[in-house]
Amino acid sequence: MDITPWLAQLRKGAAELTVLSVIADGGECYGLQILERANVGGDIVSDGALYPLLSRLEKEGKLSARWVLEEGPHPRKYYRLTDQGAALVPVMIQAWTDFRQAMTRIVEKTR
Amino acid sequence: MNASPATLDPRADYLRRLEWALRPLPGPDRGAIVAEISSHLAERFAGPGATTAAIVATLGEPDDLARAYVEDSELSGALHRAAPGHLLATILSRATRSITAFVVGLGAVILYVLGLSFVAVAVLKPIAPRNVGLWLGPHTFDFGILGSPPGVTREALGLWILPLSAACAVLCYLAAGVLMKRGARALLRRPSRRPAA
Repeated sequence: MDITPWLAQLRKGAAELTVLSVIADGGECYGLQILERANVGGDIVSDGALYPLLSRLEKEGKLSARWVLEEGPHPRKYYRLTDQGAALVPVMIQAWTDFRQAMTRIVEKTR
Repeated sequence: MNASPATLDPRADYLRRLEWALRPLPGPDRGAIVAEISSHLAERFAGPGATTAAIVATLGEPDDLARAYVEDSELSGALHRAAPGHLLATILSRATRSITAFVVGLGAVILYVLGLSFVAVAVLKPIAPRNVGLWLGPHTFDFGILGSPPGVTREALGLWILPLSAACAVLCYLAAGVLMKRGARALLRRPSRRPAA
């Protein structure tokens, strides 16, 4: 049974909270760092999904970004949470926790 | 002289194709995106065992990656400009790829047509009072502009149809705006086609 499309939708739904949580937890970080931290427990966010998402979150005012030119061999764009983003993360985490508990109750009944 | 595909630097080729596909975006946005993806590619290619195929597999083809940026930008821009026509055009442009866009776009078009019909009723009532109105009877319910109004039933609203039609037109206009904004936000959260998360 192919559940790949469903799995992709599940990951897309989780990507925003994952990225915001990673930045809330790890402080200012750049794309590759976010990817490594987000995917430490499994494939949650792909490279190609991350960058448009970061761009959108920056435009929506949830993240701010700055370029650092001197640090490594390549310029890196670092992201951090804005006040709006920082206020949003605990609300999203609470909503996620409620959703997960509700799903667990339903899914474990049918096991 | 053009370089053959075999001699092209894969990183430069990817960025060139990405920049081309990003051309609907303003120049500064395009430059910032290409710079960030260039930095990402440099980091990935510097890693152990990096191959072009593996990197493109996770980043997506340049066209797909660009489309994700462009679609988000178009929808965000249309949302923030608050121009209903622009927002409707942006939603309809995605209607063939997304059921949500199709339903929202169709709903908004129906609401706008309905709103315009109410405007027409309000405008034509003073010009052709006998042909515009609400006719109610035991087996009759006619509202709007009729070439031959039913003779046996009386028109029920008179000039009250003017404010009533104007209010209905405004309600249709506002409802279409709310529908499109909610739809656009849903589309931003759930893009129609982009690299897998």
